[in-house]
Amino acid sequence: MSWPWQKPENEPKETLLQEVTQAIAQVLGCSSGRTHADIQPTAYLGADLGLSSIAVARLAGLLQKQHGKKPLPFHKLFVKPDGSMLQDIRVSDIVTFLEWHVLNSHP
Amino acid sequence: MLTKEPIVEPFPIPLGFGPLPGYRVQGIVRSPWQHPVQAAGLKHGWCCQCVDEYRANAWEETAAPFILLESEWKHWRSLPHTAAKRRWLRGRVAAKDAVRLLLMDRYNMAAALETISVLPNEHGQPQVHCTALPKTGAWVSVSISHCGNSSVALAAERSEASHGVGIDVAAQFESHEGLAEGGFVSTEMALLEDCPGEERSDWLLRLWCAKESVGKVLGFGLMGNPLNYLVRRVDRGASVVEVEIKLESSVTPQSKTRMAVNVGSDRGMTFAVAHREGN
Repeated sequence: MSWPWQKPENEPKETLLQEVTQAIAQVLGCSSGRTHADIQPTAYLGADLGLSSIAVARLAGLLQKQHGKKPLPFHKLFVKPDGSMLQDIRVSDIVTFLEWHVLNSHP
Repeated sequence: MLTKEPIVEPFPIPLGFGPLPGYRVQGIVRSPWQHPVQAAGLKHGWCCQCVDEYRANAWEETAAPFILLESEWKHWRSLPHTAAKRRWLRGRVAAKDAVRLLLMDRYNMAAALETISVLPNEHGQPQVHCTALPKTGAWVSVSISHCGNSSVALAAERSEASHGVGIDVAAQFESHEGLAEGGFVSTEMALLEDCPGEERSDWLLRLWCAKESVGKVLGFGLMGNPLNYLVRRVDRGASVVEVEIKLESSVTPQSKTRMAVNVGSDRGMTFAVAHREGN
């Protein structure tokens, strides 16, 4: 049994996707001309959604505030396993990142 | 091709465009945006241009072939959607304007549009190619930034004493919630502790723009991590921010590890100008 205000231990990926989608909508603002429907898991932050670097930093900050007991290494999202840089990432990459770092983190 | 004769552009000039100030030269040129250059100490050989876009400026399909060279046009056509195309084209207009203004100011030369191309290199840094430049022995660096419906470009003459410039702008009056947590570490935020509450939001933006401008002048950008550049000192009186470069030496062999950046606000935008000085 868990307290009602506690998140379930295995928070579904769908909930994380909703949180990421809401955070992206917040940094995009109402003047961007984009709707929640545009923020698909396969959408690229820069190329498809038009997020600038300041918007990506804000997005990281908003998700950090929601989930981070300790700083989340968002910058690692932009680094390939071979160390080279990614120019753009998908919405689903952030969800997978959060799932791994937040749900699988141990105190 | 260089000419001292007035240039007549082969398309109707969009709303708000006028002649090159003081030179009676037709073209896609407006008044230069002096504020960032003044903030950096009125450098000779620097020109800054800001282009605002209105709904009435229907540039894309009609104007693009006349504004862009073939290589630029191919790049523009490859962009994924209309918003990206508009922004990119607006940035080219600002950059070409800034370069043309610089050439006029320094050499009293009116460079035709078809002599100037501005294309990104492999790191995204804009590179100026101007067939007019070999004759003058000069070369130009340019930095471009976007904010809302405005694009800004700063062009600077390169020399032994000046190895390039970087400019960044951000909208002053938009929400920036999350920026402090996502863009800075606690030691950087502590530099704004004594900043009056009503100024703090603007100064936070200036610090962000300072990081971006250093990334641009080095030619690598933030590389996905704002903490590659750390703000170490803020002089609010002088409007100067000192940024430490944390990039690994394998990425960029830098002789200097810190850079002073001029910051300010104007036209509803916060801006930062970084200058890479020569030895």
